[in-house]
Amino acid sequence: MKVRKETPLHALPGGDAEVIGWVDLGAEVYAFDTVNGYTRIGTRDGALRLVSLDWPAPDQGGFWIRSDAL
Amino acid sequence: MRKVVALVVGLVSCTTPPRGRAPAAVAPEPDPVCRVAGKTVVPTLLRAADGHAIARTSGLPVGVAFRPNAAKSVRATFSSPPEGAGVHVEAHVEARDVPLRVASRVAVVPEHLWIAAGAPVTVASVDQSTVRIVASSPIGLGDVTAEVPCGDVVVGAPATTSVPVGGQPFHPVGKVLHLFATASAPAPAGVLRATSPELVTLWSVGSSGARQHVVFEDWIAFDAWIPEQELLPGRAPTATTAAVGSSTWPTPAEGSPRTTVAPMVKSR
Repeated sequence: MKVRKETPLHALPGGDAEVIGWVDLGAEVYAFDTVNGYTRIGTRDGALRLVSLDWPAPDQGGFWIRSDAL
Repeated sequence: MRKVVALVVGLVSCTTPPRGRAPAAVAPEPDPVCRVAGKTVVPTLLRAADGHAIARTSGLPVGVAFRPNAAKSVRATFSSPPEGAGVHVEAHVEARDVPLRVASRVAVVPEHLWIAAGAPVTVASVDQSTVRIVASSPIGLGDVTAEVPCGDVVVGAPATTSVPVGGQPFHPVGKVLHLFATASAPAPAGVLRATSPELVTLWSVGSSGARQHVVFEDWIAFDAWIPEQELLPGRAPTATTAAVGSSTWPTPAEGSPRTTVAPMVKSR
């Protein structure tokens, strides 16, 4: 999916979650699950990966952006 | 003595604010960013300031932009894809985990000491418009530090390897080498430390009085006059071994004599 506006990148779903970066307007991302208005995304080329996808105990961690940015 | 840094004229890619900077709600701090050209594989976990992992790299190339950081770790933004619109994660990593090299020769002591083009370097610190880099010779000379515009540093593995220069081989007698700009200069332009003198081969291309005109070409390069009592005639090297040390460089006195020397020729 294409990101419609520059938006903060959170480590967890929710506005109070730690901000770990940002996503550019027009960035192409993969969208996964949605929780409380936030969508977990993945990078298109896979160069940056969610910690939770590579660790034995998956949790809510990952790259989350507001769903309305997609 | 104080460290002499090289301010090299070049394209400065450090900007404030950076392209793609996070909106105010994301990063209220007006940090400058030192964006380096190229893309690289960063084989590491990306961690937040408190040390917890926030992402990991997969082995595919990412873009890198350094940010000022008081701590020992390197604070950087990693971008996927490396260029264009994408996802940017801000993280703290060890400097050694981000392979860098200098895009072109960096003058540390003008006309006498350089960091060679393509030499691997690590980031020591980041300023608003410059990055302080450290280059290490793989064969027993101490580290050399320089401060260069961000545009003079690129991410990625070294592009070249070191080669002998040629001439009459000498080895350092001790661990200190005084580098003079000319055969008769009253004061040294710099002092270079040899962490493993027995592994260092210097090449003399001439002599005058009690000094040898010595050139050296590695990731660190120099062209200077060294007192003969600091040198021992030697043989060409048969092997190299990594060693690391440190060097400091005095500021040449105002009006101190200098000679223009021919650039060293590399055959790569």
